[in-house]
Amino acid sequence: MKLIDRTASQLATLLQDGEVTRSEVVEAFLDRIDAVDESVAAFLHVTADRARRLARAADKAAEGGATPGGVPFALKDNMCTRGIPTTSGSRILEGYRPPYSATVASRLEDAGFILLGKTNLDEFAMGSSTENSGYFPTANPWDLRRVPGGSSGGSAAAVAAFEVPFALGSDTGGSIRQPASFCGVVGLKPTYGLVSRYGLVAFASSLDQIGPITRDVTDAAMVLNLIAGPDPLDSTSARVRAPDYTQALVPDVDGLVAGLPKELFGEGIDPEVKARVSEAAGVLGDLGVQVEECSLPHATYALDMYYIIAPAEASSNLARYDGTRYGFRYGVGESPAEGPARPEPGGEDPPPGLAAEAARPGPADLLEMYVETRRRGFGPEVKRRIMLGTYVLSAGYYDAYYLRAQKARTLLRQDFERAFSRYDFLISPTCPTVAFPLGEKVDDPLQMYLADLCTIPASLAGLPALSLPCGFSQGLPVGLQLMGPPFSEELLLRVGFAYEQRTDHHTKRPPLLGVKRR
Amino acid sequence: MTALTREEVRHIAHLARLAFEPDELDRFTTQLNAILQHVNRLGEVDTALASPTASVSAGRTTPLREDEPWEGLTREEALDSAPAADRGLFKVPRIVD
Repeated sequence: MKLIDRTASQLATLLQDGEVTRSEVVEAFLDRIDAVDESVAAFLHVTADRARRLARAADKAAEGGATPGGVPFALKDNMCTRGIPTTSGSRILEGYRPPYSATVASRLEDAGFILLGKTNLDEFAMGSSTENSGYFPTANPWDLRRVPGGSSGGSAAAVAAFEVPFALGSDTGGSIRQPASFCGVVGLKPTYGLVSRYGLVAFASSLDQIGPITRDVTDAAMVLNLIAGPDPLDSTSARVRAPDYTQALVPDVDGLVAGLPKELFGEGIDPEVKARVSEAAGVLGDLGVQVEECSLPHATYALDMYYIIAPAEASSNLARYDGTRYGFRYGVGESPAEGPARPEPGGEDPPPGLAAEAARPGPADLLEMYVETRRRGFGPEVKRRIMLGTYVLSAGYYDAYYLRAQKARTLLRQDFERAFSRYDFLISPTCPTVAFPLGEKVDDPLQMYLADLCTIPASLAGLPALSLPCGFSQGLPVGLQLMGPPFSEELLLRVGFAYEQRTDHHTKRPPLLGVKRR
Repeated sequence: MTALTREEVRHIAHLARLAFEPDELDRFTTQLNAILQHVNRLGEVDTALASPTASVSAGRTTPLREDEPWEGLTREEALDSAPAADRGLFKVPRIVD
């Protein structure tokens, strides 16, 4: 068995036992990135030299006794990494090197895990296909002509293509689960507040949550162990003691009761997707889970709530990109639109221009600086969300849109509370369809938004949700979504583990055949 | 709710410190109206008795960390990424005459 075929947990054991060195593991994955990322385009920056250096140092330290960690990983490029480019998929942050690291990045590196690079995403995590990246689209390893999903498309594709054993994604309305589903890997969106958001580039602060994208449920539990828990640097991080999630990995679900919310099996859901999810529910039934149809009446309106609340929060969060403190400024260096097609390979040198010291004769006044910086630095989807958000928060429309959406959000939360008084967890498809062709929805924002139909309800209610591979349709992976009450990650992992023990969908490998993308 | 006009979209762009070319303005007006038409379905929901949810962690107590000083960014680190800096300050176009 090749090193890249091992899961993160298996690699951790091999490293712990001294069966392999960190350098060997790092080289194996860097070789794989070299071989396939030309086709998949999952990475915005590969931190090869730094990873090699860290691996060598850790190998040396390990000679004097076992040191933990050493497993390579990737981060979605909206998580700050000190001194390493962090673009959030936007030209407005081209060349930006944060002066601090996100808590999740520090926790993984402090545990000895080795960053291999930063993965592509829809600009500022706004999108469902990674086509909104300001740099280039990522391809789905199962069919390179199709999207990997989004916005954590780079992280999901990198894991699916065996370029890295695990990656972190962020999820605002489905951005971990939807790409995990499209790429046939495991994605967990934890309860809002379980994982610190410190150093995550903010999109919609009441919804954003970081979580693992892995090849199996065991790895999801292992990674969650490393990143969960309170953080004094994030006031929304929950003051709960995170348990050892690997203890939840027992294949015993006998006697649990699960609900199938009929609103998430209705209009717009592909019949084959429905069939795969029903089969998965059947497997859980065989394992002793009592499965019943249920209802979340307000889930029908979840998409509408989301496309008011998320843009409202985004319009406020993205006001900071004004060309003053960091990132691109109109009149300084190159305009993003004229910049290089993609960041330097390896990404360890800043692209020319943007780091220029002093302003050339640029904007005539502050307003022109703001407007010209933002119109050149942001892509169309980001502008659309800022416009929507600005409108729904503007005088005269606030009550009709934003306040109404927030009230409806309460009603949706109450639907879930009622459901969880009877059911231990809920089952639905992760996505209405399998991965769609590149370019198919890019000009129709509303069609793109519908890709998040099934993932948005748990986001609005702040609930944990796990996406698992549950079979194929037209040769493309289908995802099963399990949703639970707040802080029920152990239960979801247990159910996922039990399901995985009974099925082999998670062991299937993408062909990686087809056209080269760059 | 009535549809947004081109002029309203131009005004929202100004509020958001954005600007659009004429053809972009047409496209955004059409797209924003399509999205708003969809979300207007929320009018069907009876929200009269519901209180708004601003944050799902609102029910939990707001945590406070110990009020102890700690090392933040140095001035140099904070200015390091600035497009323009001068004498330890962020530099912007003249604001007052």
